Order: sequence, then structure tokens, then C-alpha cells
Amino acid sequence: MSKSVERMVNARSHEVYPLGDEHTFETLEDEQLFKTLKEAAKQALIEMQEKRLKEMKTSFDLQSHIAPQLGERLLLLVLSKEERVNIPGDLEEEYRGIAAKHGARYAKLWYYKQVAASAWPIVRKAVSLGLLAWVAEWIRRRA
Amino acid sequence: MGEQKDYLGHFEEIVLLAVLRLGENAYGAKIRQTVAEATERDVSIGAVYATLDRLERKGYLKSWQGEATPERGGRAKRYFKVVGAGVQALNDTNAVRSKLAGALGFDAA
Repeated sequence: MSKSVERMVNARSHEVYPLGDEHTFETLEDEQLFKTLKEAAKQALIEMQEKRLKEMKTSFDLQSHIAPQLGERLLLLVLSKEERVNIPGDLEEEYRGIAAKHGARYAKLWYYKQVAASAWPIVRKAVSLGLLAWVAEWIRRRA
Repeated sequence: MGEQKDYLGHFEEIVLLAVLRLGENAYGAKIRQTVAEATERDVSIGAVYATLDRLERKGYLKSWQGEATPERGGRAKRYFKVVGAGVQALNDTNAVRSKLAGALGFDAA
């Protein structure tokens, strides 16, 4: 096998055989093989770059539309153990969709409204039970 | 008077119908969105889950954990499905509404 063909066969990327270099080939076959490999390397490089760009975009999208951490912590404070498994995930999913459509500011407002609306019945119940317990204790002391 | 029937509350009926409508895609966030679109009100996820849990305790729904996705911060979905008793409760509730509203000339549908 000629040295030029050997290099081409061992080449796996444009770093080994930079695109655009001129080479002297021993045979027409070598030249054809070089052109084929050059084209294949170019195509592989384009596909790799497109894949990388797509991954970066997906990663950016996921990072840029993360639900407000403070809101999530408030939510976790009031949810039961079972509710914590699914509800934060549901809200995060909707938050991302709203943020992508209407912007992060609107989405944050929506998220905190959801947290407040979900937490209020629980807080109200706790307060009313607390008040009842306080009244019961007051009656007990008066008796 | 015959067999005692259980009738659904207003929000229970809406949630049950949303689950039926979504079919295989009936999980928390989608159910909430469907109810919000239908009622044109931004209902809270907490209220939806409270109703779903109540309906499941009554035996009208069954639920199971689904897959986690990155869009949900790695948290799993909870899917719901209406079972026979739930369909019966919907039919019974609708029948009562039709009986009462029909005589008044309202569109009971």
C-alpha cells in the first residue's frame, strides 16, 4: 500500500488530513480514494457540528427556562410526601412551555400564582387547626 | 328507591371528563391545562390533584407513575385513567342534570 493511501486509510478526521491540502498521488486510484475520503470526512465533520449545535441549543433551552428555585422550595414546604413526587415536575413542565411562549417574567408570575393557589388551602387548614387547638387549650385552662 | 347513586361535584365532573378526553396522555400537567382551557380559568395544580386523589379514593380513577423527563427536572409523571365506576358516575350525574334541566327548557348537553 502506498504511503499516501496508508495515511488516508488511517485518517479519521480533518486533523489528520486537513481539508484543502494538495497531495501527490502515485496512482489515479489513490487520487479517487483520497477524494472520496475527503468528502466523507467533510460530511462527518458537518454532521458532528450540527449534532453539537443541537445539543447546545437543547441544553441552553433547558437551562434558560428552569422554574424559580425559591418558588419550588416554597412549594416543597407545603406539599405532602406523595405530592412532592409529581407536582413540582408538572409545574416545571408547564413553566418551560409558558416561558418559551410568553417569556420568563410572565412564566415566573404564573409559577408563583400556582404555588400560592396550591399552598393556600393547606396553610388555611393549618391555621384553622392551629386556632382550634389554641381555643381548646384556652378552654382547658379556664375550666 | 333502588340502588344509591353517587353524583359528582361540578369540578369533579370537569376533571373526570378531562381525563377521559386526554386518553393515554392524561397526566397532571395536561389535565390541568385541559381543565383551564375548557373553563377559561387558571385552575391551580393543587386543586386538580386534590380532586384527582379524591376521585381515585372513590374508585373512579386509577393512577400510576410514568417516565421522568428533563423538561420536568427529572421528575416522573403521574398518569390517570377513568375506570368503569367513574364512567357510571358521569352517566348518572348527566342523567340527573338532563332530567332537571330538560323540563326547564335548558340545554342539558
